[in-house]
Amino acid sequence: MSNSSLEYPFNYANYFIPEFIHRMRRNREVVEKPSPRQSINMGKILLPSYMRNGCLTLSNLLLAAVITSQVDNQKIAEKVALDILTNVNEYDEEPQEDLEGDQLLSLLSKKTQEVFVTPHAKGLEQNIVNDNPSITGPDQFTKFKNKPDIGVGPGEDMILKFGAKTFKEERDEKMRKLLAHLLKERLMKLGRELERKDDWSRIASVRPFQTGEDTDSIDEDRSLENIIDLGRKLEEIRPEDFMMLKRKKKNRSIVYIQDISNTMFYDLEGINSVNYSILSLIPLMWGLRNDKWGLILYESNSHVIKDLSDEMDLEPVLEQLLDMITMTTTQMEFRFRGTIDGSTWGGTVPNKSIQWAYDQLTEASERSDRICFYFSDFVLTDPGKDNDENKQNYEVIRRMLDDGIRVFAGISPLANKEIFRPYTASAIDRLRKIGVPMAETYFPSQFLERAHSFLDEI
Amino acid sequence: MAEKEQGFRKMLEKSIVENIRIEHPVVLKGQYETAYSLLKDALDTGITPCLVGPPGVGKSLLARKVAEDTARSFHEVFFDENVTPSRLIGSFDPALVVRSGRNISSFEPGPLIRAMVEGGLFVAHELNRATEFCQNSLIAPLEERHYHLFPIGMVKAQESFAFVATQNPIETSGTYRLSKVLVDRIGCWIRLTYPTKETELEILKENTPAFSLPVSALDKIYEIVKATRENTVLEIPASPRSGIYLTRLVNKYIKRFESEDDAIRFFAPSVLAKEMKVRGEEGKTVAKVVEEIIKKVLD
Repeated sequence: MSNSSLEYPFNYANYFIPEFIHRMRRNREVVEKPSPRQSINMGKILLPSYMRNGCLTLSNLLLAAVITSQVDNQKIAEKVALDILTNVNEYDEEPQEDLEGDQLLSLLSKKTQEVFVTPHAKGLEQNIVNDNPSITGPDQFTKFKNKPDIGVGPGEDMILKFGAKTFKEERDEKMRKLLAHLLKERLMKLGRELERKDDWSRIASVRPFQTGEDTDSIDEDRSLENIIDLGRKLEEIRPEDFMMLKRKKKNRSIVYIQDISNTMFYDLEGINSVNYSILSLIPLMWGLRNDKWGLILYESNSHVIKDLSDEMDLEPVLEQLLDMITMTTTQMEFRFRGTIDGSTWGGTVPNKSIQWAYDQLTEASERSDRICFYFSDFVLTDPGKDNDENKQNYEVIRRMLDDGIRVFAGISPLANKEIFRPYTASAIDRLRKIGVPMAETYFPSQFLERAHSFLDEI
Repeated sequence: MAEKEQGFRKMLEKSIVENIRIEHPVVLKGQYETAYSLLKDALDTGITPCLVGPPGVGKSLLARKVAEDTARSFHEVFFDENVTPSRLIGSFDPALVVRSGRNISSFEPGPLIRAMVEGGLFVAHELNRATEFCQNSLIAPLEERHYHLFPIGMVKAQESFAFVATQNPIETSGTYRLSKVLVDRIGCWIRLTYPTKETELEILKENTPAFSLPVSALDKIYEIVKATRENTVLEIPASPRSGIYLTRLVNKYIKRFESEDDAIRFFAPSVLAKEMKVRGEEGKTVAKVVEEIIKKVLD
């Protein structure tokens, strides 16, 4: 590049800016693609430097490219701009798929003809196989293959489920990263919707208007009543005579229990019960992130991720949960124990977790709305063999309800399928009798709808 | 009692100023020089800038400096989830509305409308703590430079009206992601991080009234502050602001102690611990981490 092209800067900038924007849009790592506004801004921000110095330097162009890019993209922007300035051709020659709208759907759904089954038959699962002679192995669930999905629930649910499925089988690390990011964004979007709904369903009371407040929130009836009661004449009315609707949010203390026992790894339509739970759990936790929360996972052992009283950022926890979508039970054992020893892993022992949830929530302030969300397939015992330990679990849940702690169950869609039903019927019925509201996690958006109604009940 | 109240009101009247001036010289070196120049360039060319950086690195000060140097009035709002659009835009006085209806005289303008009308600088502090409801109300003033104030009409911003946002990195607790529409309207993202040693030492000196500490003491303070930033246990380390507070205390009270080390050892835990945060999973307390760092630097 000759110096003259920099002295007449917009000769080169005319090439540099569109080329930079074009390459950024093609770059796979750039999730939020630059808009035309960025091109305009790049031109604008170069102008003062040119006016000051009478020429543009390479660093002016580089800086313009970097600072007009969003913070998350600035490292990539720097590399792309340097490539252009040093005349390096684009490294990635593969055509880039535009991951928006319909094309995103096609990307996520192109491998949906396969069904994944995690063969971890042992313990209760083995009993299921023994009790059902027609079942010869984990492929039993292929009968759920391609059950009606498209068109049954909202499109968002469909994308999430296909996304989880594709994420599970994708081996390319870059693609996995991208899929994880897309899934996370969509789950958070669902969470934000829950949050918005939740904002509007706060406990309403009235209080006097204060200058600077939104007059749309004035309760006209009660204001009029108040003004008449005070006997004010028109010219005597003061701002504080008006009554504002006060949406006071009751503080919440929430404990999430997530079952990760082996039965949770059976697939329905390509994704397993852990996946179903997580697709509902992540938006739920994100939507309620401003409340106090605790999280525990259980199989034969219980794994406390966060106490109610601990301070911890939610995002890394959600990323870990998202990561669990791709894990088998063995990988999960390795993650949580550092070793693989199947003998004491993978069973269904919720006792300690339920007791932990009870302890945590009884310690929380009684003035807060104390809630336990329990995600499981509820395969707790063999049919007709309800043991004392299991009875104890119902007892603890009943005590929670007696103490004013609200419990909501997120049930895996497999729990109501023919093959699981003999194992789950008793547990689900008992929970229902105790008074635990529940919703299936088959469609995350519907689950959240139910969860919101539940939250709103108070 | 009435006299006391009268006295207070007089003092209050005297305390009211047009604009707060920056008390200490602003160190415009290193990253701050670049950021300041970019900030001015962005405002001159009608681009909305956003300063991104951890708490205490001087984002607000830079914005204030630009307002002062360009003779703009200064308006600011610190966002959190309780800030509503009416807090920014303003609202009608319901008592006046009953008497004379919704018109200019019954409208109490908020800082954003004031900045638009006066052609001032509006700083949206911690924009990524604003709710989506609030974020959406900023779109028209940012892009079209107007706001439709129903039923008064369209309020058009003066030519010199400028908007600067600041935000903490999104990893920081309590932050939201900005909506895509708003992100697209912010045209310039200026990152600030912790300054270099040379710059930070100058910041510490310039912000300490009657600075008289020996170089060695200042170096030790800087080393302690720097060590918190290199410590992986800490999610939020000490900012230059903490360094300034520590320097001020040590500078003022050093004579009470036998050595500069004693003074630093005495004040550092209380000053530094106030804003630092340990990563949740580490199981250490801030006090413990600070103690270890002080020991390592001073012993």
